[in-house]
Amino acid sequence: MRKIGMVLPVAALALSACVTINIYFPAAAAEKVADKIIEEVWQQSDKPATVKETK
Amino acid sequence: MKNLLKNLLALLALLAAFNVYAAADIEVNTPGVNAIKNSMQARHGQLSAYYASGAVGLTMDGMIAVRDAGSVPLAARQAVNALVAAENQDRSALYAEIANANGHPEWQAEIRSTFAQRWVQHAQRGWWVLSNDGWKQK
Amino acid sequence: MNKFGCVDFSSLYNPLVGSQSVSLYSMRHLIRVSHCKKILSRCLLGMLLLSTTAGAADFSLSVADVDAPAFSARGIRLVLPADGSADLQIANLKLQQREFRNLRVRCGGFTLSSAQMSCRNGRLDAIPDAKLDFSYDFTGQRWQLALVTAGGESWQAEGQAGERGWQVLAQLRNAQGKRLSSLLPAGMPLPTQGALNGTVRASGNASGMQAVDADLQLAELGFSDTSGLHAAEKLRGDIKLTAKRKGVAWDWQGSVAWQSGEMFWQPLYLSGGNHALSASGRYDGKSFEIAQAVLDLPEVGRMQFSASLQQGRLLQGALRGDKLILTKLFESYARPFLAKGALAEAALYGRADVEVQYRNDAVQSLRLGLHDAGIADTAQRFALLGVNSEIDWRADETRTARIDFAGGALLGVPLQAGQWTVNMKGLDFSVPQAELAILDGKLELRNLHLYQQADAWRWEFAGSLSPISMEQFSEAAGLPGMLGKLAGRIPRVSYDGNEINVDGALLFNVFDGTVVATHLKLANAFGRSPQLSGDLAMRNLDLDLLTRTFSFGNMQGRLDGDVNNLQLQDWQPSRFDVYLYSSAGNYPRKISQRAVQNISALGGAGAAAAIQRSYLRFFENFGYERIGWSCVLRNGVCSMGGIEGTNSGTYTLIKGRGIPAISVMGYNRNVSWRELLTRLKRVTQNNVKPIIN
Repeated sequence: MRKIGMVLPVAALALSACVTINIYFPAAAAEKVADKIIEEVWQQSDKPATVKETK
Repeated sequence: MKNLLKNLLALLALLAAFNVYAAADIEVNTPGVNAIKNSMQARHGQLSAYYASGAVGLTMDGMIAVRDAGSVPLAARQAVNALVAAENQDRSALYAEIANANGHPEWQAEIRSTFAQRWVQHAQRGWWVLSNDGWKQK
Repeated sequence: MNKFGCVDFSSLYNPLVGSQSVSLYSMRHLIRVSHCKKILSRCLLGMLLLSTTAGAADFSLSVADVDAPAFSARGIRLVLPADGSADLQIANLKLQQREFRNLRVRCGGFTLSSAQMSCRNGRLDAIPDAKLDFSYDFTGQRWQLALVTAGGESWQAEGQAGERGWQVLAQLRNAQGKRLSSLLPAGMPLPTQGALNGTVRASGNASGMQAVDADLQLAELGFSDTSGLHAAEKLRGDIKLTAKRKGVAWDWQGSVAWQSGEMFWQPLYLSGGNHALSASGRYDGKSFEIAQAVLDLPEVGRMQFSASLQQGRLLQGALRGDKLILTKLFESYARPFLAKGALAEAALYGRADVEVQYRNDAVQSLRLGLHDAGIADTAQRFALLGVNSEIDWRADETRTARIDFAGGALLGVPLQAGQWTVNMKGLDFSVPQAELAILDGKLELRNLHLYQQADAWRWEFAGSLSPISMEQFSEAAGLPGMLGKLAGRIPRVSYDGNEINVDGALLFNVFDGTVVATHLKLANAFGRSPQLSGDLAMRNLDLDLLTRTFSFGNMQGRLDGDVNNLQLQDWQPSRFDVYLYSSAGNYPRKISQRAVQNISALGGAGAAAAIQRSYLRFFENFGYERIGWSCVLRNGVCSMGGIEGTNSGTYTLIKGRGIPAISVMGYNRNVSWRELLTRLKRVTQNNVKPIIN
């Protein structure tokens, strides 16, 4: 009885974990990606600017 | 007790697996995204002066808008409008393309709002941002 | 005219007040003759208080409210001090939705008699640098008003109102346009700078205005609306307008001669210099008719048009212009309306005669005479030049047009002169048979059909390509110099407004073999980032021709290839399954040392160096039995394999045979596609020199 009592919530947790994760939007990753694209588009960078080719 | 331990371990493994999935990177290295990015990058050379002068500002929905056409010489006003329209077209396409490339077209709105915040965050001091209570200078 | 006319003083008339009462009576007289009675019922009756203030001879008049359509004044107060001056204050004046607060006129000299009322040397608080004079002659029923500033600006107006009618004459000299901005409705573009000169005359009678005649010169005039989308700067020009009432309608005629300045009227930008418009017509309160108009556009030509509009909607119109210069006409007046697209990035040349008839919400006929006209895409994708044609198009009749052209270009490849016959039936155009001479061959088109369905333009055609020298073609198209002949069969190709579809198989003869493309589809064809998908089957390509083209080191033999699930996004591969392999059959199979090195180099830098160091460098050519290479591209990574059947960790790219024989093995299965391209580029570039030897 004790066992079942422990297993049930665990199963429920597993089930719910399943569901939530499927609709989860990776906000942190999206932010990182956005930052990278914005830096490229606006040509902002903490790194020194790339040396331009000189003729 | 042994069974319970097994169950817990299995659950841990499962959660760990999902965690990996959840922390997965968003893929943006697709030809579509790159094409849009390049086009926006090329356009930024022309737009940046208008951001600085306040003729064009950022909006909170991840787009840009003409704020003060009056500060642009008459001859260049159509060009500014066209730049803004083209930029917004690209931005919409970018958000859709990232969502589609990752197999989650329904993420488009969230990607857009993430970008909206980040554009503002990265905006230079003095650029204008259109919030609910009107244009504000960063 | 009626703006003063809403207060009835008669109830306050009191003969006991003495001399002042005479002037009050005169004021009533003034109001009466101003045709006030008609609207009196609509006016709120004001309340006038007459009181003597502290000084014995000072008194002030207060009129609480005056209300009229489009006009109201509240808190009117006239103070008449003993020194002969006057002080008129209006706490709140509303004029056409505009509101002015605390207006004040101080008259240096104020006289009021049974014959005349006048205000001399008046000062307006709102315009402190201006001197205001006005007077009214009760017997002659004439009034005069003049506003003059120290800067030489003057607004003068005089008028007369009598039983038979009224007249107004206004004369402006250096009149600052800005002053009008407080009088005009807020939504429209308002003057911001510059001045007006000229005269405006108007006359009318009890039933309203009957004639107006304006002749104004603009001097550096500027205007703008709040959004800045309709604005002008430094306009210089003349505007003339005369209009006479005939019953309920107005007959008008006018002209605009625009000499200099610039204007932006979203999305058009026009800069001045010799624009001229003269027009005449009729306006009956509902429909606005331009009976005839002549428009001169600099660098374009002269156009004549007529139009009939109702509530801003064009009911019918006609336009005619001869020998119009297309370059400027398209660039300044058409391109701003075009969204981004191939046409928006094109330029037109030559001249055209145009005659258009518009009726029932559609163009009914178009006569277009093209004289050495041309169109060229600025990105140099297409061009058609020296076009001559007389096109007589009707919306509801079948017509045929012959189009001659002197030449052109398609993707850099020159087209020779040609002649097409186009069948037109409304918005349905078809060309049963047409030829485009391309280099030493030709493209034959069959059943070219362009039509509109569900608001989208669609087209389709079939055709065939008779042999074109690949050498000439690749040179013209800016491709690596290829050898052989290009020829092919084009089944039905169609465009549905978004996708270009190729039905059946597109067949090309290249490199002495064949390339068959199937399931070809170009989605989002003219939008941004077009997507191409399809399958390619290559058979019996001559490796010798192929390797010579791409400076890869020499290989001899025959190659088959399958490219399945090909997807290009914005012309960059995003997905495909490629398998290249030696064709079946007997043919010489040889591979040069350099080609071996290059193939090895694709696997990384080390391998090539290893060959250099080994005994292999003593041989120029090697024999082989089979070649095989596969690449499955997904997410920017190419998973490579070799000859079928070697599925262990390593794979065989070249299986050797004969003496000396050579086999090439691959170890890395997954390579970034971009990296692979870089290596390929490096290899082919490095080989330019050795190949020449």
